[in-house]
Amino acid sequence: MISAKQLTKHYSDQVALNNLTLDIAPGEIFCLLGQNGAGKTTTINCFLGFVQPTSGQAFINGLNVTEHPIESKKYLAYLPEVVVLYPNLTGLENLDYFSRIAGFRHEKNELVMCLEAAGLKEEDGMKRVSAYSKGMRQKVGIAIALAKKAKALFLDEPTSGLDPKASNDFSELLLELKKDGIAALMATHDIFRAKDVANRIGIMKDGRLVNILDNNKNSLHAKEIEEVYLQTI
Amino acid sequence: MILTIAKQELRSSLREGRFKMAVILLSGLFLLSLFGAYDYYASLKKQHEEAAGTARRQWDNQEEKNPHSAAHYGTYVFKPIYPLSYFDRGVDGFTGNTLFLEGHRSNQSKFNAAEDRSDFARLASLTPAFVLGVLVPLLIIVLGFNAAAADRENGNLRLLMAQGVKPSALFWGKSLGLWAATLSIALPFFMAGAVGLLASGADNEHWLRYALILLVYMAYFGCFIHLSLLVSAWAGRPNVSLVGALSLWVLICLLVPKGAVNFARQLHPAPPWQAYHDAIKEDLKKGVDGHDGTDVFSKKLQEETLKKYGVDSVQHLPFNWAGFVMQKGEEHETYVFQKHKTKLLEVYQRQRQVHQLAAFISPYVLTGILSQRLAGTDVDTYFDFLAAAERYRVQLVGELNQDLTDNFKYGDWGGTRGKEFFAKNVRFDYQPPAFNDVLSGILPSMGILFIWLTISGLIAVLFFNKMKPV
Repeated sequence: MISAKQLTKHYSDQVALNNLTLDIAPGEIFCLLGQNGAGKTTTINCFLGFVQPTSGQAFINGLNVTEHPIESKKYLAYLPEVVVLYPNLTGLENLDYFSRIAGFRHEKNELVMCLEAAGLKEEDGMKRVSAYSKGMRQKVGIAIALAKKAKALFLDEPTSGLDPKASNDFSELLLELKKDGIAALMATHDIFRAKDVANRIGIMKDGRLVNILDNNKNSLHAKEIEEVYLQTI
Repeated sequence: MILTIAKQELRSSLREGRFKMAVILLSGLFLLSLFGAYDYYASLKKQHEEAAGTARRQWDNQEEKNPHSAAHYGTYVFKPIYPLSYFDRGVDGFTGNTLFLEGHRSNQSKFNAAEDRSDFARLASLTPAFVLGVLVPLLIIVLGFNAAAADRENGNLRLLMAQGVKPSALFWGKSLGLWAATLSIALPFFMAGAVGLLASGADNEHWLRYALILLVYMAYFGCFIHLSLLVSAWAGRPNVSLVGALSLWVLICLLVPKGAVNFARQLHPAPPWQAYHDAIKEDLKKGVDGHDGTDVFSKKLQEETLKKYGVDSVQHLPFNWAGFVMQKGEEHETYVFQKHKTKLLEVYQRQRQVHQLAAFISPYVLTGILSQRLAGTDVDTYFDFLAAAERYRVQLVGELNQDLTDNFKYGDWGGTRGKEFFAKNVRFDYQPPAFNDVLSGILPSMGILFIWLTISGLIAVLFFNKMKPV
């Protein structure tokens, strides 16, 4: 579902992403660990078409992202680290707007269901986003992804700044989605979260994916991952 | 998708405190300007109509006098106050609308620098045209400067693009939304402006003129909508975008109009007032003086005339020599004034060409030219009135001198004419430039305005397409 072939990105004299080859199947969550600047966000940006790779290709559902910038977006959803939204619109209005941009005209009750699935109460959905906490905005972001019924999910440090409860809810939601057959690529610093949800954990350094840990049966321990991580970087 | 974005843009604007504030402020200013301008217009129109009637009555009922004395007595003519002059006062405030006509000299109501248009002084006068031309663009900038820049800075653009938005759709949606917001304030203004036309009982032609003025302003607003979106997409950050868009506003609405006038004056300076009149005085000496009779030119004319009619003294001419020489003098004087005025007009014409070049840079200048032309308050209409007044003066004075020549005996300065004669004298019946001529005259400028609109839009789309979400 999500696939990269020798994906490489150079910035003048710097290599942001070096020869990344990766395949994420439906129902699989792949977590990327790595220091800031290791290339996690660049990887996601390549899949979203925000960054043109210097060489190599990125595919979503078999579509080359560079060749099909609009078409490939139909199958993906994206959750950034900070979801800002439009502060003078309510959560529900924001959800409706972003869904319409993606080409969906959901009924109000469908939208409310998405909000609730993302962990936001209906009455909170009626409030303007300017009154929201970061966690609440993040939940609207998740609802936007849910409403799109995407097959490929890109998450860029989605839990940073969330309280443990919200973070845990988020993990559970991801596991649900995994069961439904979504493929997800998640960049994170949160080893515990990665351990909980990931089928595989990749560790990046200087634009390279240097280590991949198998966690298919949830067999890894956070301590182990941390050790490998510290050794790798 | 475009409609969705437009709706969102409008909804966002309507919920913004600064939009509400701006609307309240602008509406107040617009109504104030409209009321003030209409009040001024209505009282001016009334005064003019009264004064024009009074002037003619005074002429008709002047006490018995010699026809040439009547030429010295003189009369006033008035440039008509057009219904739309309350909407755009144009150069009327600088030129005045009144002209004193008399024998021997062609008065120039106020042939000074202020005849050239556009000045900071104009900016200070609160007219509907000022609110629409200067303040509404400011509102558009306030609404539009962060249309793209804020989305880009706060990451909403990434989310939008991940949802599959097309950059061009984003541009069209945002511009449509800005249009809706702009029209939500401009349309009530336009309707309020029409109340003035209703009140003055304007004819169909003036409604058409008004519709065209509105079309011009819409295109002008469109230019600013495109510009603010263009800058927003180019700058990528709201604060840079705001500074950029405001700089463009200052350039288009203040610097270029003012700079063009100054530059035009430097490039093609008009002669100083004193020098201009000295030159006329010099030239007047080079021909017949109807009142002197001792100058060489009068003597020469006398010799030639006597020879032509085969008589030895002016008393034996078949007509009144005094009237004849007076008319010859008048013709010389008219020729001299015309010559110098034409030269001065050429200077002004060159100045205005420079000014029209500035219209390529500043749609504000362009809009001003079009709006004034349509309102009948532009320099061309004023010059047209001056020319008509001068033709009328020549006609009237000629009629008086002809009467003196034909119907009075030589030396009969005591002979007089009364009401029945003066009332039959030619009347000033000024026909302003025909609407069709005005229309064909403004077509090129209209074209440039729409080219401006198109090109600014295309560049804005280009910047939206180039916009990087990261």
